[in-house]
Amino acid sequence: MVGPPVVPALVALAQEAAQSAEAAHQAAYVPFLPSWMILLPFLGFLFNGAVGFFAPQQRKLVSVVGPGVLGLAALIAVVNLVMLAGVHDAEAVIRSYFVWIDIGQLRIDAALQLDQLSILMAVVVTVVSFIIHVYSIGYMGADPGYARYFSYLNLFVFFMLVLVLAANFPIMFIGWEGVGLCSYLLIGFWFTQGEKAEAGQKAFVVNRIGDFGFLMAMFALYAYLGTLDFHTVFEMAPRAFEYGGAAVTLITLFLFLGCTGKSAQIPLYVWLPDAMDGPTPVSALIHAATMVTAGVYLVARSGVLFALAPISMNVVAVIGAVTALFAGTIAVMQFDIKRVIAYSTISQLGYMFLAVGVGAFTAGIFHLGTHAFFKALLFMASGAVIHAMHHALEHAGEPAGEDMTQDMRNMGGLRSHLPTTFKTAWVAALALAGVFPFAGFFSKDEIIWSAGAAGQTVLWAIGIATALLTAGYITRWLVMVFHGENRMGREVRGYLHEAPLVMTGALVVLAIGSVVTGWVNIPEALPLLPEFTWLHGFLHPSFEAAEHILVEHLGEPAHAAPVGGGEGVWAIISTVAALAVIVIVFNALRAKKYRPAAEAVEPSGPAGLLYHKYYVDEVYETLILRPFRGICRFSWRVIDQVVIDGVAVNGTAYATRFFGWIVSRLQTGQVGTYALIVVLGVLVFLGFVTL
Amino acid sequence: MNTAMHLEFTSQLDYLWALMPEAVLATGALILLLYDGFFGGDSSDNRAVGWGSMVIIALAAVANVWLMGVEEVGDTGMVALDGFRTFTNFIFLAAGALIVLISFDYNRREDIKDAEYYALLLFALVGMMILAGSRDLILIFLGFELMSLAVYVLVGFNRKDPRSSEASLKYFLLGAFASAFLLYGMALLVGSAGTTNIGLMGVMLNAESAELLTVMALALLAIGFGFKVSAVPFHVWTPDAYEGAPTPVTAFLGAAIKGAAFAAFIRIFVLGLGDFHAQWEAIIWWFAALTMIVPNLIALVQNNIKRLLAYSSIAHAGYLLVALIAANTSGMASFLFYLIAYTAMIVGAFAIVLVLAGRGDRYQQLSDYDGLGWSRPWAAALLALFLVSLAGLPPTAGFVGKFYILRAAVEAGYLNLAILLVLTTLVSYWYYLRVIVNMYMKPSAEAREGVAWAASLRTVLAVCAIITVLMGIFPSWPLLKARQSVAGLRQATEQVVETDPLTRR
Repeated sequence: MVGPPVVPALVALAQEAAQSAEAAHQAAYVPFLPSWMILLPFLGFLFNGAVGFFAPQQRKLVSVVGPGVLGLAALIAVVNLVMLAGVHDAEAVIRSYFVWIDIGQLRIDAALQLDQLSILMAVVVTVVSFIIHVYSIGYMGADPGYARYFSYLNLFVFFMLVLVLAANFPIMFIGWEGVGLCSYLLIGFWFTQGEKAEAGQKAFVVNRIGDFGFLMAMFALYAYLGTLDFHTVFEMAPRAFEYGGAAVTLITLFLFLGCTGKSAQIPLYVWLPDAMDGPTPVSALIHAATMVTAGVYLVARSGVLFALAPISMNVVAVIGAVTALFAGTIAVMQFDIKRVIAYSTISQLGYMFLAVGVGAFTAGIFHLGTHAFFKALLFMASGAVIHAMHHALEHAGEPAGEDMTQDMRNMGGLRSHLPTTFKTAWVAALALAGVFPFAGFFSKDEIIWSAGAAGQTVLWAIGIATALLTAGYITRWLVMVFHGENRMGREVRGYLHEAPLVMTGALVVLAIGSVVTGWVNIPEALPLLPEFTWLHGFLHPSFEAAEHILVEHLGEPAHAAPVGGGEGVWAIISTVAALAVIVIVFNALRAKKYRPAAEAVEPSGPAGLLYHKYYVDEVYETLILRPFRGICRFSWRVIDQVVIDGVAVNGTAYATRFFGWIVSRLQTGQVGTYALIVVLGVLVFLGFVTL
Repeated sequence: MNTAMHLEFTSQLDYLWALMPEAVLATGALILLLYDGFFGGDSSDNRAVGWGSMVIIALAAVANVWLMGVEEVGDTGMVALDGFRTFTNFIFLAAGALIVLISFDYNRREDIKDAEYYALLLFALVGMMILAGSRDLILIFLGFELMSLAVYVLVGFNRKDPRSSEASLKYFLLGAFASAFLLYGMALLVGSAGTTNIGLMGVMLNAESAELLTVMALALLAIGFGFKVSAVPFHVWTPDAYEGAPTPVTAFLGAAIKGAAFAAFIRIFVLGLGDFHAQWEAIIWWFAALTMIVPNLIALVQNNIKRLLAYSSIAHAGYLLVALIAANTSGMASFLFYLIAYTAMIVGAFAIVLVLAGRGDRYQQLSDYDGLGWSRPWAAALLALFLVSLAGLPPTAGFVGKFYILRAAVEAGYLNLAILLVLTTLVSYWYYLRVIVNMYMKPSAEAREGVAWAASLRTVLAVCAIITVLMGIFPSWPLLKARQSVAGLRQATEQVVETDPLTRR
């Protein structure tokens, strides 16, 4: 399996490790094997792709190599994090591997930027990916496309790492597009089912709209600054752009358009719920933990640009807060086990944008990290449930389509059948609801507090309202799935069983992460707890420039909430309120008798409005797609077929071909004719130069 | 290289060192002939000779690597020792190796007795390398003829096929014609300059008050080379020769021979007589314009794939002429870049055509490619890749190459040629995409016997495809190398000339 090329690779590894160790001694950060972090998943992709192509039945090797490369990459990422944390205010290291494009003034290196922000992101991405890869061994074990699945998943991680480690916009864009491609491939993984292939296409098309924004932002940046390297751009920006000027506002708004596509914010969020058609581990990895957070990362990375554009900052914060509330309300009335969490993801992404939009970059990245763990856990717990439902229905000989296995009205009382899943799901739910001491409490609380401290009273209120809403819908989810009476047939019930160890093991690891990841940043304001703002200190160098601009123009953030009270007071209020909501909802719903999906009536009234997701898909269909199709049809039938094809293209083509036919008559095949042409040619040319 | 060798060209032995790759090739070719005379049977499957020629090419490449570290001092010799020469040598040797690899199976299939075939191929390579690497008109003519004679025979090598013989005769007759013009031009040039050395010529002649004799000489030289690179209207031999020749030889004609003639063209016109730009500009301008327009139009009505590729190859000569007329570093660098890309894609395309034609070259019509995308997906996908690259669409090497040529032309102020290049490229999409449409959008042609994809052929296809794609995505490195190999070439010539006693009259 491993050939001779591994030997020089290992030598290179050893040399680099020795160099790194030596350099660490001199108390400066020297990245440890950064290129291997990216290369390993890519090699995994090549290997698994080859297996999928040539020997699709081979599963053992894939089960080792697929997660294995990720394990190694995660190890490298963690080593880098530890090394970086050991150096106070380390400067960003830029590693350039080769010149990718060199045209005129434009020079783009294939380069990585290794600093606190990118390494932290790399750690989150690789660690969560590794756990989800392991989980996938169990979840996808019986799928005929096993190797293909792992090759896509490896490729996704490769692109995601390119995205977060890139040192300039174009390389980041490669990762940005690459993860989009993998997302498309994985949503439509079961492409033989038409509706799933369509969901993949929807994601693809919606994301293209966002990519247009990213591209426009890049073009504009290049036009203004003549470079696309992060380092140079952010260094030049404060001098090149006027504070609040039109140029920087436009650039950041275009960037944010890209973010709304990738990170599923209003108005481009519509693809994410449909993306749940992919395998559940994919939903956990791509559509919850990593890819969808790329937009938040982009805003944080470009913090300097956004800080220079107060209008854009406000747009980001408002869109984030509104999306959080909007998606949260939809989640309340969904019945599909994955859709609830999908809308919850959109809502939580809204929180992250709210954070970066009010200049609390660290809080946004903090929530991104904690959310990656508890949301991945929620998805994977759903996966375990779906897995169990599917097997039970299949064994009982009943139809096991997704409408059956994923509708929560068919579940209930799974607590006793899936004990581990049940416990870990509760941990994740408490983390999401923001209950002390779970991870979500610290990160979400900091966001809400930052919004208030920035003087955004309305957004602060929306943040609190959404937090209560979150506690409500996730409790409803727990109750419908795990508590109360089981709503399946007695026969089916007998076949319900807990997921295999690779899956539950992954759930437990994530559950631990959902608790402890919040402890890396404990604000001083909390009573009885030691102050431990490690994350703030760690990320300080990455956001220093942006925060400096913000303080210079907007002043220091306030030390009290808009309606009074310090951070500690509000932290206690919010956790108590969340707990209260959980208790109320739990008691109200536990007694409620749901009917199985087949017999249920569609909700009507306000509930119906939420159930139908505010009819946004329908509105888009009527207002945008239908007129668009009309224009397309007109362009096709009239402009294209008649004018362009008929007159312009075919006309030109016929004329050109006719001319070609005439000239080709000279090619007679007779040497005499040829010699004559040559002689005439010589005479003409000689006459031409001499006369 | 640390142990850089210095050649002063004070003794004849120095020339042997300077011509080491050529000497290796020529000696090797002679050994092959002797081997065949003593040990060769009548079998058409003469692989030992084929592999032997691969080894010889590899040895010549090693010699060429060694040559990169050799420096010349003092007088300007008849043989150039510069990056341009070693760079083009590598391209020719690589092209030669690819052609040898695709010849194995073709020759066996068509029952061609092939020991002399490989020897001739090597002799042609020697001629090409001398042609592209000389600084002296006499050596240039020697290389020109050595290459041409070997190739005349190669074109007619399939004696059982009358088309092959006919093509060879036509090529020979018209080629002799062209040699005469070339020689005439050289004679006039020597007469007016008083030297055969290209480097000195630029100094001896006064560009400000060029005589009629010099201008005539330039025109005749351009015509002679125009014939070899098949510039319109001296391209008339090309389609017939390409169609009739054994397909590997066609690929050789299209890629390497044209490249060698172009390299010599550039050496004389840009490096030697660059000061006469004003005088030769008009001729080359018309060459370029006509060579882009005419073949692209004729190709539209071709139904034979080999003829279609022949016209495509003529059109590419037009694009390369644009790089030549730019006569600046960018132009020469883009020429070298395009030459690599072009060699990869045209050899790749011909390799597929070769295999699909089947025994006796029966299937060469466009209609034989109907539905190929479904019956032979790999072959169709690769052919589509090469065609897309020939058409110059991203992300392939052909696109980047055309882009660099365009940039060089714009830099040098030839906006009109740049526009013409884009427009004719647009026209060419028709016939390239037509093949692709046939492959993917038409129902399959009748079932044929399977074709064998020998390992040697697969290797060639893989190499060509990888080059085509990689140079399209990562063009910087090859372009940098090309730039380095031509940087300061003109200045270097001038410096040598300044220190030359002859010029200090």
